[in-house]
Amino acid sequence: MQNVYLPKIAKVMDSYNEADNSAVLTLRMKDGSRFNFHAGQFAMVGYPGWGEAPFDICSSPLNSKEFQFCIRQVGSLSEKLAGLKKGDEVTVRGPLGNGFKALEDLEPKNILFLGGGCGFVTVRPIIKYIIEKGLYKDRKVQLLYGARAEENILFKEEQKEWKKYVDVQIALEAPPFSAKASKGRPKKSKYHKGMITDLFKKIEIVSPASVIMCGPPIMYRFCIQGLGDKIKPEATYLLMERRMHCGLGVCQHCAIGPYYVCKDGPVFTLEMLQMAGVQL
Amino acid sequence: MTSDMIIKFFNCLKAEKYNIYGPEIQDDESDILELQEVPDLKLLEKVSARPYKYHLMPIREVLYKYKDNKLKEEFLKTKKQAFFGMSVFDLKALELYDRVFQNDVYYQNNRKNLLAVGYSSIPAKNYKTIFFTIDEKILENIVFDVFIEGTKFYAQSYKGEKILKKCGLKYKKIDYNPRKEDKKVLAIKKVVETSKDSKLWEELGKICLACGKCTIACPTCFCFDIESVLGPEKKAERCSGNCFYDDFTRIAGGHKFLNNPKDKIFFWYYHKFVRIPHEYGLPGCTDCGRCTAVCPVGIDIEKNIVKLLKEVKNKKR
Repeated sequence: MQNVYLPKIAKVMDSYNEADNSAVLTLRMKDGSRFNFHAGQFAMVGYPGWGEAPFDICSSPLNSKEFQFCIRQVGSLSEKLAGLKKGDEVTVRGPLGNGFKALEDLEPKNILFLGGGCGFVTVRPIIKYIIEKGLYKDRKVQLLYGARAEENILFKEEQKEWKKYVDVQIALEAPPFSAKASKGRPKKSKYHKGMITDLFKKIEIVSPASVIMCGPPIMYRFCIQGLGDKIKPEATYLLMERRMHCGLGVCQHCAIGPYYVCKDGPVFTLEMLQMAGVQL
Repeated sequence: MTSDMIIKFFNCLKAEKYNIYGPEIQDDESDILELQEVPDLKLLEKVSARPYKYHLMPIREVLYKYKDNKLKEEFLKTKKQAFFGMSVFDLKALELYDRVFQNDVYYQNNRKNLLAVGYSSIPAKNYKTIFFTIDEKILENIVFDVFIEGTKFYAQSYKGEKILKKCGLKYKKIDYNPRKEDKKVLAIKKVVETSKDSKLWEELGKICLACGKCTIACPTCFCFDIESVLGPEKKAERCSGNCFYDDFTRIAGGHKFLNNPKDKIFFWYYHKFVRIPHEYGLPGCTDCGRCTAVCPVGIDIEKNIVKLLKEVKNKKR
């Protein structure tokens, strides 16, 4: 019988700082084994003696040799992990959860991403998959991203590459002050001002589209309201976050209604949640 | 007569080097402790105040250690142990544990050394509960190695038969044959599933202290945390969890998903009456009465379910 609680050891191959007090760790399994996963899946990442916690895998699912986690420093474990350097070791248990098993088969074909906060991390493996597999060729892909300020934008540098294939629109609650604004003509900002939901009125939203939301539940609530008819519950995918311990649907910490986020999620269709009476 | 047979069996277990656990009075309540002699029949006739579960799944157990850059599994070196005098309700809970932890190496390591000995002074079919069906097939619907019903001995497992033969006791073989669909379980599931707006939760939320005594006393409550211990030894431990405590749903950054006693007690009932039957086809509550007995504000699980059942019946009219 396999020990489902025993993690594997992975080596840190690289670590760099990201926005929002985060660090991206690149890992490789110490025993040389591959780490095969679907976009949207997560794993329990830990440091011996400091515990383990669920983190979204943020690298391309097409690379199983090396994989990445974007770790935002909000607690003792995440601070420890974010401070690790090349050659350090961590424990990894997973991949866990459902994830997107077949992004190519999403119906409607077009994909609308709505991202915000640290949940945005999960957008990255999906976008990478779409670009690397060329899925953008036969469908429109639009990414709406809401953040507080410019310094909170995750993967800002990479987004330049994404923009070649994906329509990226960013709304900032506090857009940067434009230096030229005082000398007459204001410089056209790369960003929209406001919340993610303000974008619904300002720009043309891809429709019909499969909607993928990665962010805080409050964002989901307002986006569902704001998009109205454009939301098809069976084609709207929400990524849920909960406290987790076992990651296997036993320990009960992550239960919402009849589901376990760790086992039945973290990707849920809005239809699934509505049918079970789950309030967002 | 009854006690002679029981004493004979008990002493035989002792001679076979079993560590025997059963009800014994400690601090004015019947706890499950290691027994040196056969417990008083009066204690066996009642459901003990505390459950057997902690001797099968300890409050804390080491899962693995990290040493010399390697992870090493740790297993308890369990001796042969017998749970003596488990009630029908306790055995129903054991059946659930076996289902929930069927792929759990740590549980199975402890379970393989357990001899479950049930006891009932009255015919087991005569027990009454609203939570699951008890009829003449009840001994097929629970798991045990040996069951003592008054003066009669039953065996369900090879282990049970072996020990009874060794002790020279006559027994009848009963095969485990779980009920496919229990109408009582399904009816309660349906009612609790759709009860979110019931006033009951409001009322319970006002009086519940979220002290968590009910989950400690409950024989089916199995939720757990996995914690790491930093010290001379780096290790991961599993310890029993409690869904009434604030850290149960707290995530990094401080947000919680269960914020008040009302949501917590609903979560607990939903777990017992909806999620467990849905996943395992078994009742999540066995009606042992322990949670009602320990609740400092007198929350009565059976009364509450009856209330919900009535509410639905009245709505239909």
